[in-house]
Amino acid sequence: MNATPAAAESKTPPPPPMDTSPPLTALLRAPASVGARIAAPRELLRHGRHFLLAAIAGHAAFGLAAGLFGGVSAGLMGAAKVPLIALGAFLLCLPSLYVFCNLAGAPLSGEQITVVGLACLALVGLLLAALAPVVWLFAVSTSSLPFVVVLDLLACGIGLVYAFRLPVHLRQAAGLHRMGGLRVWLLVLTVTSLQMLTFLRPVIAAPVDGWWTPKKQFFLKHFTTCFEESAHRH
Amino acid sequence: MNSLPLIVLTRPDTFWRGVRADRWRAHDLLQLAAFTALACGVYGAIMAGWRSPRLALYVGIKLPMMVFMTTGTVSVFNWMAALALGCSLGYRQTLFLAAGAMAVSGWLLLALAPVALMFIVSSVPGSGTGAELRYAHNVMLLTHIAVLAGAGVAGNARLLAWLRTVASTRARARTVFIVWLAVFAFVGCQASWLLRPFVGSPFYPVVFLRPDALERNFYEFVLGDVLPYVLNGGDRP
Repeated sequence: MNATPAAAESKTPPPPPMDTSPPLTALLRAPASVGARIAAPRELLRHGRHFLLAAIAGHAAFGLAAGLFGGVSAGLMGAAKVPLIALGAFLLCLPSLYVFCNLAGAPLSGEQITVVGLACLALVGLLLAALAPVVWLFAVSTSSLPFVVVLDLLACGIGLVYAFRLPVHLRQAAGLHRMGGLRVWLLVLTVTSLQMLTFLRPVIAAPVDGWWTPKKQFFLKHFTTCFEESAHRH
Repeated sequence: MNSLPLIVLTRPDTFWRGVRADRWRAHDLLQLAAFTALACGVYGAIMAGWRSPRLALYVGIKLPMMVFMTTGTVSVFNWMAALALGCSLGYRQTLFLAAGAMAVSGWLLLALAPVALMFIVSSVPGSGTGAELRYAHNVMLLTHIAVLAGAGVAGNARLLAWLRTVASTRARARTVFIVWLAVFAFVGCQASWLLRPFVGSPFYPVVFLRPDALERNFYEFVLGDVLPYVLNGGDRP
């Protein structure tokens, strides 16, 4: 027996609520509506601009707060470098986002893919900005580098957990049902960001020999060294 | 947008319908092969770039060679295995499917090339102590093996979806897929052994092929050297 139209209707998920709030508010309060905005690309450029600015500002605020561990000069350095790390990793990983989304079955345009990626970056940035006061409090009141490193990574992890949940909300929009590729991409972005951070070190330590370290290092080695040096000092 | 590699990525159903209808011609196969060669060549050059520009050039040639050698070697077996397991595919269709899967892997390698380049530029020292160079080599080796294996599996995973539409049951499609993947991996490991070096050990000279390329095989090496080494906790038996 065929299902009645009413029964079929009850099986399909309800469409996301129409939301006319600004893009950043929507990203936090109704992420499903962000998917609808991306799927119907009328104001894609405006949304992308908002997300980009939020990502830069959020990461800069977090970099400033975390960098104050090493003093004011490290704070300024952190404010400049953390957005650079995030955007650099984002640009390097953008081609893979296009390929992953297409392979997962979400054939989006280049502009749509860019805005999806920026939405993830903005969400992480907003959460990092929200956690910046907590990070700042510990940064100025402790001298343990490993503790601050773990705290900063934990804050980034919280931001990433929210970004990992974004595909669940986005897939309520038409054309974005298969966003599994976004999660794989977030993993690649995370690893790339960690390497970018190592490349642009120091970020939270006082810049004794300038803002850049010429020695090349793999990120796992870098973090191991951070903890080992601290253990030797104690 | 008529480029077949792009169709394979963005409209896989169109590609598959073309394969089933025998619509694609020899020049379409060449398009897929050329794209795969380009993508593997770019990734190969980046992969070996940390060692020397000459090895980058060699691996830029050898990585596509490895892919084509493996695909060519297993193509007849794949066709017969599919027929024997209840998937009615012609040899030509099997070739197009393999080429499509290789193109998908190529897209992944091309997309990850900027990330791989950044890792090479930022994490691998050009010179240093023996221990530093060994560490860098091992990290690079493991990273590239993971990327290449991931790209290969993802490319072949696309095959599974296509096989499901021609096999009589989903279980048969899965069996054909597992057989194809296993044979591809089995032959691919030996092809990579023959054409080594790829990442380039800092303790050996840069060559196109090792002088002992034809002396042993990959599995002799794993069972005879690697396994006893691991079982003895890193000490030579």
